[in-house]
Amino acid sequence: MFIRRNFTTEAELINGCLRGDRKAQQQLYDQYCGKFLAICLRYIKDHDLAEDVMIEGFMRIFEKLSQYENKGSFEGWMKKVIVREALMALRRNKNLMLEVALDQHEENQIHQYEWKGLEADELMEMVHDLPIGYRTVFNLYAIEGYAHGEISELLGISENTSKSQLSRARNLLKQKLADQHLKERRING
Amino acid sequence: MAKENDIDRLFREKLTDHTVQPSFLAWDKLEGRLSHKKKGPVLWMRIAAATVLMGGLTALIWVSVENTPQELDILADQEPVREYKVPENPTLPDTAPVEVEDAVEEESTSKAVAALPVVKKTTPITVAPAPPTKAANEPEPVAKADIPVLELDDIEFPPMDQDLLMAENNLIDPEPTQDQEVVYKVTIISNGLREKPEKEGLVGEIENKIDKLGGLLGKVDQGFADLQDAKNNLFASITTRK
Repeated sequence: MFIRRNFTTEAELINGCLRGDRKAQQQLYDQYCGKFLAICLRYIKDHDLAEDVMIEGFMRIFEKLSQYENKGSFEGWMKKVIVREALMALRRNKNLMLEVALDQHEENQIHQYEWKGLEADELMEMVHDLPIGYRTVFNLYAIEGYAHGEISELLGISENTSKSQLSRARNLLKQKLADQHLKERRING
Repeated sequence: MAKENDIDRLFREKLTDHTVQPSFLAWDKLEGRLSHKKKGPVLWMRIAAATVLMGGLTALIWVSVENTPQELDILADQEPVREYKVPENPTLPDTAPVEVEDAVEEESTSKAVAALPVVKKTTPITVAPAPPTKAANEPEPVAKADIPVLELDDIEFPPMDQDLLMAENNLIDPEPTQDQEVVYKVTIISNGLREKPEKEGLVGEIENKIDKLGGLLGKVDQGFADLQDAKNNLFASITTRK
């Protein structure tokens, strides 16, 4: 146990990563990979692609770590990097931006990945079922907490489109929640 | 608005701390990329060092190769200058020093362009009136003193002579044995000119080969024609028999 060096504080961990210490990097990865993959999966449905984006995001975090100036939470800064990476991936795949076509034909895939909490799983599926433009704006605004101005800059759309996409996303989610509620009632009798 | 905010809140509360465990391969991928990135600059450094070393070695080889023939050139250039300095001294006492010196300088410069030693031998072949007098000047400095002033006008033509001289170098190559200095010069010129005959030889060889091939093809054609004739005869004989 003495051989393995642990980074007890966040500052130590950051310094270790800055030095390029592989153990520090792995500890940071182990600590945040689950959260960050969940973020990526909210933007990118495909699990493999989301995982690649997460890896790319970690690479970017390690690269830009020297730019982190201890202002605000470290996790918040890293999350921003990851979200930006996910948006970049969407842009590269040209799937992003106001693709309004509803992909309701998709069958419910059985995920063999380990989910924590069924409720979150259900909500994730609802978010996944949203059209990609709605989903992106909803993720950024409702979950990540970005303002419409920031979203418009990030996605290269007007604030009004951002707002309209958000309200449509909310309406769709409301409908899905209602459907889910009805389903549960029927099952429960 | 309140309901909308509720939806936002519901999703935010449930999904912000939501985690999905990545596959075991993910860390290996990341580690591979991290180590690759670290090794990258080292590799670049190695490649850069290798290229620099190669460049240095090639430069050294070039310099060493270039130095050896340059020594020969210097010998060839320096020796003729000595030759022409000798006639300058006898002209000095002959009352027309400035003009004669100019003439000698012009001669030397014109000859320096067209391989100095060759001038002596080629001048008789070019049949130009001025060069023979020049050749006579060198061994007999006393006679020169009066003549060079007149020759200056004749020497203005030399550009034509230079071309002729360059073309006639081949003829003069095998006769360098008069002076040791001349031998050096001739080898240099012949080095430059050896390539041409090789090429001509190659072209000649290729032409010969093409001619041979043409002869072979002609024979083949003839044979083919003979065969056709034979065939025609055969068919004719068969058809006539039937």
